Order: sequence, then structure tokens, then C-alpha cells
Amino acid sequence: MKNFKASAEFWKNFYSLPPSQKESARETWRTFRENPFHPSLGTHRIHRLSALHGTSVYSVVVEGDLRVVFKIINDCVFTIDIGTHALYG
Amino acid sequence: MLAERFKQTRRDGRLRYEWPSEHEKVTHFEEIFTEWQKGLRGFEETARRKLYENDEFDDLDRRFHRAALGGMIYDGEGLAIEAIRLLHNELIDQESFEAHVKVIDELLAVLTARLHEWHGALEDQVDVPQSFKKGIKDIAEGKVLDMEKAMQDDPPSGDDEEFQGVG
Repeated sequence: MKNFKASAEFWKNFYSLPPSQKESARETWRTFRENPFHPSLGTHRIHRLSALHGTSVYSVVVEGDLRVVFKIINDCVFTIDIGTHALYG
Repeated sequence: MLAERFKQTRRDGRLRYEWPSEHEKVTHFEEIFTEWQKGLRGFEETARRKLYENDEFDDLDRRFHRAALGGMIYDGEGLAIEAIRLLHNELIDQESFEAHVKVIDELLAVLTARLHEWHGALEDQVDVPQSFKKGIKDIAEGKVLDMEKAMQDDPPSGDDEEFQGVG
């Protein structure tokens, strides 16, 4: 993957996280940008969101129940959101 | 799988259609009613394997799932319509009618909910986080920025208009 983009919504939500969670997310990003499917990230497809959106939507484990959600279009990874919603798995 | 109006028999090597007797109509309805419910249980198992828990599901799996749901809803409504006809023709009593239609309607509600959950519009899903829907909308509208910048820089303060044309 060469390109990594973030939605404005992700940007807003990332910055509203407490400092410790921001740091965990940055740590996760360092591995993610090398390989979004690295085994340590626990990357998995969210079946229902993928079916609804018509494109695979994936979830990455940051810490605890904090997840980053992304999709891939051509060779660009788009980070959609960051949060603790149950649907993110 | 609609409750058939005619009975098919083979006589003298030819397929014939005969109007079923009153008793046969009710028996036939009961058979189709039971088969429909059995079909639903089988479907749930297949859907779990092919879609809900399948990491490799593709567009074909998704479409088969939607087609199967549509078909079962169609068959369920067909059963309810046949029950109304049987009641109207006094072939079943009110109590039997209500018992059957209650089961049919409960299962139709489950099927319809499943159809909406997996194939409805994303924006109509009440349990999908608003932030996810917004993120998807941002990407579609080009409101994206380089991920490295997102991880390091503060976003602009204020309302959404400030994110217009970001990146």
C-alpha cells in the first residue's frame, strides 16, 4: 500500500481521544503503515458493515475495545473512523 | 413454494391437474407451512456459514442471501394469503387461522429485519455509529487528508465547514 488517507471524521475523533489512547493509536499506526494486515493488529473484516457498504470494511485493534475502521480503494487505504462501538468488533 | 392450487397426478402417461378436495387443500397448506419453517432453519445455518461468519464472502454470496430472503418473504406472504382463503371458504376455523398467521407474521418480521440489517441503506441503520456514516460520507465527498498529517496535526476547531476541501 502506498497511500494512506483519513476521513475528516476520523481526524476529529482521533483528536478527541485522551492522550494515552492517542499514543496507543500512534503506536498502532507505525505498524499499520507498514502492513495493515500485520498479525499483531488483529485486523478483521466487519461482515455486516462490508455487506451494507458493498465494500470490505476492516477493523484494527488499538487497545482494549478501541478500534480503527478502514477500507481499501485501489491502492489507497482510507481510515474511516476510530471508536469503541460494539459493531467494530 | 407457494401453496399450490392444483394437485398434479400422472395418468395414462400424461400429467393431469385436478382440483384438490377440501380436505387436501388444508393438508397441503399444513405441509407447505411446515416445510417453510424447516426451510427457514436451514437458511439460517447456510447464511451463517456463507455470509455472517465468512471472512471471504463476495458479491455472489451477498446476492444469494438477499435473493433467498426475498424468496422466503414471498413464500411466507403466500402462506398468509392462502390461510385467509381457507378461512373465507370455512375450511379452517378462526382459532386455527389466527395461530398460523401469528407464526407466519412473527417469522416474516424476522426475515424483513434481516433483509434490512444486511441489505438496507447504510444511513437507515440505527445501530451503525453516526461517526462511521459520516466517515464514509467524508471519503465519498473527498474530505480526506494524509493519514500522517491526521496523526500529528491538530484538526481545525469549529464546525464541519472547516473540513471542506481538507487534504
